[in-house]
Amino acid sequence: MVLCTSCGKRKAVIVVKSRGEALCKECFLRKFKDLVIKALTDARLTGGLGSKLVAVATSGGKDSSNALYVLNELKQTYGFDLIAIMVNEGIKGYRELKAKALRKLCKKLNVELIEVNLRKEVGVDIDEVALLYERGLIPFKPCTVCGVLRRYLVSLYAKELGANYVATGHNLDDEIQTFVMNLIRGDLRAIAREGIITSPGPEDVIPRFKPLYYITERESMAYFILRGLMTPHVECPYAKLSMRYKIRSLINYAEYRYPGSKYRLLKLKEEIKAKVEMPRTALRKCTICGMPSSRHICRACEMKEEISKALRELKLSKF
Amino acid sequence: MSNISKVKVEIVPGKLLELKIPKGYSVWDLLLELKINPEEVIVLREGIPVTEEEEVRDGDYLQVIRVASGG
Repeated sequence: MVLCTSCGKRKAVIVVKSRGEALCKECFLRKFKDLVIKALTDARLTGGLGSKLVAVATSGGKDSSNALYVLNELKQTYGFDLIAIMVNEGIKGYRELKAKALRKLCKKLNVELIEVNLRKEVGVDIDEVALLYERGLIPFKPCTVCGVLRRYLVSLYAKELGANYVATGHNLDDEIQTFVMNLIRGDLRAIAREGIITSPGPEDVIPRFKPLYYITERESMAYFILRGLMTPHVECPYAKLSMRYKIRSLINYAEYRYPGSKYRLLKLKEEIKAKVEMPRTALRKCTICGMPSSRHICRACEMKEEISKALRELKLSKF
Repeated sequence: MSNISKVKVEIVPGKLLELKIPKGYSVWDLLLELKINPEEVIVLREGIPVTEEEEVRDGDYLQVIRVASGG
């Protein structure tokens, strides 16, 4: 039996080799919260959250549910208010289960949940996008479209709701997967851009921060289970199509063979970010939707345009 | 006394394995035997996570939960 290295009394339920810790349930739950506070501190948010509204981008999955749970625990200490936003992207057999679990959690935490329907907003759902991709009618993978449109709708609704910040469920694994993906793409600008909180921008751009920045995916799952938030296990059917899926396996293999790899990668990313100064791209307003963008037409509107064209082609091909 | 432990391992969701493993095997040994990277899962006994160092007992029912859920 492995004893908790923090209290020395109880049986450990998780070992985090890279931090040299074995923790019992009580100490692990406390550590998890401390790591969220560390993220808020490093994002320089702890002093500035008073009377602010934080919109949590939620999906019903473990990470965003954990982020919502811990932020709800911290809201009194720091004096902020919370609201949850969920984008229903219409993936059959996946979204219904996650949405049901999220509604239950929000009710339990007494947090208002705003549900946004992708089809209603954009005229297409991700199942249809996957079909268009499969038939070669659009160049974007479903995960890319899902990511861009989800982000777009969360920003749009957060703005409408008067939120001052958006919190997302990105964990340490997500962060270093993105780093390695950007390395492979040779995209230094993207490496310099990604971090615990978005760089300050124009007033109408809502800052986004990542409360789980220092928490591994494995710890996130353990927390989800130990807090009793666990829901039926369903995986997104399109996840395997993404580049992230392969990079995730690669990094997990490195962590297994060389424990501490994930923390070293995060540290490396932070060092690069600190040394690289990239001129900020001037933001203008998208000529179609009016949302802040570095281009004349934002990525979301560009995608919507391509998808509409592909849908027309698909309908024509049926006749 | 037998040197073999009989265990049931559920790979969530839905795949149930009945295995005979040498006594003294740890959760880590079991996962490697199943070609599962311990970094990618959490193992539960009676709904509670166990460390990879934990010894697998005869008659155990273990659940292996994959930690990656999203896209």
